Amino acid sequence: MRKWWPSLLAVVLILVAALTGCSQSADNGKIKLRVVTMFGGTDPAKKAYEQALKDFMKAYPDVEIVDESMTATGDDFRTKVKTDFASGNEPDVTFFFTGAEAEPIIQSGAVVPYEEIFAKDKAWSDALSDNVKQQVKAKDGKIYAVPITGFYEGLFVNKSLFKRYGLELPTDWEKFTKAVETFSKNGIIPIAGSLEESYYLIEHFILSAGGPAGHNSKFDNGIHPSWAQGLEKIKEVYDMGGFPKDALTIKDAQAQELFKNKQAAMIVNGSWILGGLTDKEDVEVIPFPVMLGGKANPQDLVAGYTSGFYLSKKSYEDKDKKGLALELIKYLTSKEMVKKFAEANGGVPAVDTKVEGLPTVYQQGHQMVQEANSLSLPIDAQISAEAFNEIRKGIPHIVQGKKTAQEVLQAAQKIEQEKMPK
Amino acid sequence: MHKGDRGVIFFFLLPAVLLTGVFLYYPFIHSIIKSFYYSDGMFINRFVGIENYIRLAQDEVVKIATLNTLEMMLYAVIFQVGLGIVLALLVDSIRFGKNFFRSVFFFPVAISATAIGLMFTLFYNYDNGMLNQLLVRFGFEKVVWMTEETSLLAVAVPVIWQYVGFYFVIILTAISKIPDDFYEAAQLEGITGLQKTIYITLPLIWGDVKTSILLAITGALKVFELVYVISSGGPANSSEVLGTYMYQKTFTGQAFGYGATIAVWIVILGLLFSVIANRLLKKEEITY
Repeated sequence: MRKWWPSLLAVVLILVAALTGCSQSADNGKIKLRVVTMFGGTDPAKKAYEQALKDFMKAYPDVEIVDESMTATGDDFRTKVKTDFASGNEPDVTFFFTGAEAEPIIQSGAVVPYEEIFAKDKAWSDALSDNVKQQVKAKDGKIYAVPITGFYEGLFVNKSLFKRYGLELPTDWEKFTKAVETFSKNGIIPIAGSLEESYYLIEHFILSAGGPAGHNSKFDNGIHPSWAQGLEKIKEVYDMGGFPKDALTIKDAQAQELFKNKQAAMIVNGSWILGGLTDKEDVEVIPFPVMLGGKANPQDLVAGYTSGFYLSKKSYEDKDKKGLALELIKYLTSKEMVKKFAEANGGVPAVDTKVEGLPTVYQQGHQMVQEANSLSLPIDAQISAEAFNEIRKGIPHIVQGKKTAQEVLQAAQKIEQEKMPK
Repeated sequence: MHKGDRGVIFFFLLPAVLLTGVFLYYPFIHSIIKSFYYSDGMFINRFVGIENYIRLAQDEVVKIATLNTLEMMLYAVIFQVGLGIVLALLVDSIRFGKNFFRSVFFFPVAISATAIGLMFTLFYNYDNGMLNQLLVRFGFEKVVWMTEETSLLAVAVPVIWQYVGFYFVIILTAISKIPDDFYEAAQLEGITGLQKTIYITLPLIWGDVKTSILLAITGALKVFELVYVISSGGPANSSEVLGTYMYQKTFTGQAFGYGATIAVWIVILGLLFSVIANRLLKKEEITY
């Protein structure tokens, strides 16, 4: 028999090397840090963030940052992060949401709680207010994410369009419906909303119907009546011609475009859209109005600190990485950097710092948060992703009268319950 | 067989076996196992028996998505392969510019599906889309292009458009392999152009057509990006295909167990249809 096995062995070795070894052999003696954040694509803070990475690499010449950031609009970003963690390929530093979505990541033990680290670095820890810390706490009461800026959601309006048709700003439901009717009649899109990516509409209609008690009820005691009430109201506004003609298929990014171009008068969205607006002086932000029979206070908001930097346990314990991932997080969450981020994305800074020189609408937003009666986290941060997805995908069925809101909610509730063992 | 041959065969097969094993069979077997679990992909991993399969059988959206996928398959066979044949016959019969048409028709295959999807999104958009701007320019009313009735067709158009060129190239190559003497002999017998196509060209390229049809059928099961980018399966699941529904459940909804169940269903459908197609298309192939 011919001796074929040495060559076989060689092939196996080459294959094994090809499959496993590439990443290590390619580095140039530098410590590689893989960072995944949502400051990519169209994110307004992208510039500030990329500059910060460059500055960090200048300060630490032996560090090479591999930046895999992408925009958080839509669900691709969430998918990427979840898949990275699920496959054991977690980045050294991840900027991700807190709440229900992060719970599986936290419970997998792949990220480090900050309590001990905070105790060692008082100055860094004290910069974050207790209020902020409270909001980013995980189910187990520990902090795994250090936030930079908070966000708020609300009703953004193009003032000039209201002026043109002699309308008052939609501060209550009557003015809101009148505005919807008038704009619809005059060929202006009343609300730039995507019913395919209807995250913000779902939250605000439910909050308006049920106040914080209803909005934050999850499925704890069955389905809160305000949820069905809120979702049915979306159908009412849809029937009034409140949304774009192709609202069932456009994405959130396209809806934002309609508002930016002033083809639409209003949009229910978050503080992050301010950065991309061209005519910021013409835009005003107000809380979403309380619907007739709704239980909300006019100052109830969906807002908070729902994202932050997670530190990979693997990276933190890896002696070769010399704790540099933590250094990077400390650098990115320093007072000076937070200020830069807040200036770029219009968010509410997580540390005590003054943000100056911003257009009026930014200040309005910050003031709105300060004067708020309550701050609730979005519903998708409170219930499981699959259950929320069921509600979101159900909205087109509801507005077309193919399913009732109650039917959609029951299906979602069933999914939420399946998560727990019987 | 020479005694040493077995070793050599094994040796040459090994890389392929390793690669498909690691990247195809291992994940597939893993998916089958996962389909018996309730799993969020990370923390929760609970054995649930055949619960996911019961859910699959009862899931309305799976029914819609399966039917849509079958419809897509039909479009793929009729239009991708059909148009591919027609275009190939036309291009084969012209004297000049063959290479030009070959490149033009093949070009869409090389563009990323995401880019094509984005382009068609911009065509269909109601307020700012190209189609509606054209309509308005010519004095017509704007049209909502993506409704529950039209959405599947609206996503099928780019799917067909992208892959026609692929089958066109396969068929054109097959046609060019037919020896000229066949046609010359037929010419002497007084054959017409259409007869030439029906009695000589088509029978001689039947093997390649069959391959194309099989590729189109299995390709239709994998349609994902275009639908995902253009309609996300909407409005109200009307353009959902199995690929998008699996993605939506697995990744957006973090239901990895159920997502794996849908994946198994896609594989079963794929095997089923390849076998059926193979049976139906069994026809003596002519070798020359």
